[in-house]
Amino acid sequence: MRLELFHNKQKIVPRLIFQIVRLVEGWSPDIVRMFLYRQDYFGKLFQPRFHETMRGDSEWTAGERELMAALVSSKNQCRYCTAAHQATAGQLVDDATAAAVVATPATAPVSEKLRVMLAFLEKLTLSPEDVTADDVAKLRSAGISDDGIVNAAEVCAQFCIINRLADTFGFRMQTPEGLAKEAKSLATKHYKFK
Amino acid sequence: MRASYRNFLHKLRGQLLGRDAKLPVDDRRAILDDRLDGDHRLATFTARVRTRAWTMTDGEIDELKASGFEEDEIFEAAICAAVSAGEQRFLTVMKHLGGPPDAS
Repeated sequence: MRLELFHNKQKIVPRLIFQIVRLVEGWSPDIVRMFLYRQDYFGKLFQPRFHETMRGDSEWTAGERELMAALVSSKNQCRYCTAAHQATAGQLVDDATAAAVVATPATAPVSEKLRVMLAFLEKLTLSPEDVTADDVAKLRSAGISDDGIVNAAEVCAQFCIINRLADTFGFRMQTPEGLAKEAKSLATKHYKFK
Repeated sequence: MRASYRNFLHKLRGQLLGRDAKLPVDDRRAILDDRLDGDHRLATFTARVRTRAWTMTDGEIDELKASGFEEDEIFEAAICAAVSAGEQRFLTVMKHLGGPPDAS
């Protein structure tokens, strides 16, 4: 990571949490170090919200939200998050669908509702200033409720934030084994690590 | 039911603009509002975080450190710029939704 403080300025309790995560989960991604650093500034509030956005009540399944996360991350060109959430979506949906959503979302084998939403999220990620009321109206016409639109917008916002931090701070790519463990953990457990 | 994301963003802003930080609060607020002066020494960095973070290099961070910025200041600036980008996208949707179901 590009800032040494994530390694040498962590307090004792976060260091212990990091060790426990590594022992219990079998993986130790840099994102955990970031969330644990000066938690009162960012991680303490942001990280639990991730769980609520990705696993809280919604008309979107957890797998559909992981597909959204993978798409947004790929449009932001964040290799770290794209790999992590494509793999997690693979666990919750299937690998071929997750790969298709990242590569060619317009023809991916997903529901029509999700396809319309993915197209919207691509535009929202790449050029939010070009999003119009008509774009939102198309989502409603596709049968997506306002709460479903809000939840998808949350996914986009959360990943637009975390993608930028991953690339700015230089999160190291997981090994294939670490990635598989992380994906399984996110798919079967939750986003909370403490 | 999920808690309001708008309220979450409001709380997050409050946290990022709190007293316990190294970077001057006016700078943090300007980064969050995407109105940092172009000639500010953090302007190039925060613009990169906001618009093309995938192009960030070790050299750019090293240059900031060499010019006198502490790592904590870089940490704070990066988080404010990233949150600003996420917030912009969420609020864009809310604006076009009209009466938001997120007002809870």
